Amino acid sequence: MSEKSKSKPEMAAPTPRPQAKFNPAFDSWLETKLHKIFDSVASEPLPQDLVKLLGQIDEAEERNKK
Amino acid sequence: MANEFHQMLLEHLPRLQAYAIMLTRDRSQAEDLLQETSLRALRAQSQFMMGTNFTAWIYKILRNEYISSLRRKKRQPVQIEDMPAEFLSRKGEQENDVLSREVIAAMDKLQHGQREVLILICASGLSYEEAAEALGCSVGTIKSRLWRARARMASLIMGDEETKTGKGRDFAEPPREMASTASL
Repeated sequence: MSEKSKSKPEMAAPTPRPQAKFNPAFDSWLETKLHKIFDSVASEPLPQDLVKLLGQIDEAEERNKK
Repeated sequence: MANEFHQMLLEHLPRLQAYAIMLTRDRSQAEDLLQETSLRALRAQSQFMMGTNFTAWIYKILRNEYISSLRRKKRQPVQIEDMPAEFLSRKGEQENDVLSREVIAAMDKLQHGQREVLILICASGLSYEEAAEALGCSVGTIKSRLWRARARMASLIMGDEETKTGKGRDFAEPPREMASTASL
């Protein structure tokens, strides 16, 4: 190693990029799994208090229009 | 419903509720978040331009409300161990339950930004553009975060060595619970 290179300050190691782990089968499995979790929660009934509140707001706006 | 705006809001509520639950992992907090989001959207409806993307707009409101609530209450998301079992699956789906817990436990280990993108795109089905608008960043950032999130999830669920060598769990063949529901 030359003197020039020795005198250079040590540079911080660059942040390693994630290894290439492209796996279409896994990505597809993961997406299906996350969709299922999400859809099972999305299919649950909405909070009744909120539905009632939105209905009341809607009715009030209708009355104001008349 | 009286107008198009209310109709769009109502149609989005189930998916917003699911997004809120996945963000907070707490049903009570998610209900509060959904209510705050709905009221805020109604107050701001004059700011929404019909014909623009309502999905991105309303998801952005919910996300902003969530961040505000975290700041106000200094709450941390509930960890997987604290989540009620019924969050993940219905009775009689034990295999589903185990796999779901494994997936959500892995999501807990992602960086916050990566987890958000995974929920928005892979779980909720938003487009790159909608997710970018909701999170206030570029489509390139979304793609980059999603790529890193998927790679990290693969590493966490399959294990590093298995990911590199292709050995270990074989995702070319879907897990049994997926195969059994594929025809639904």
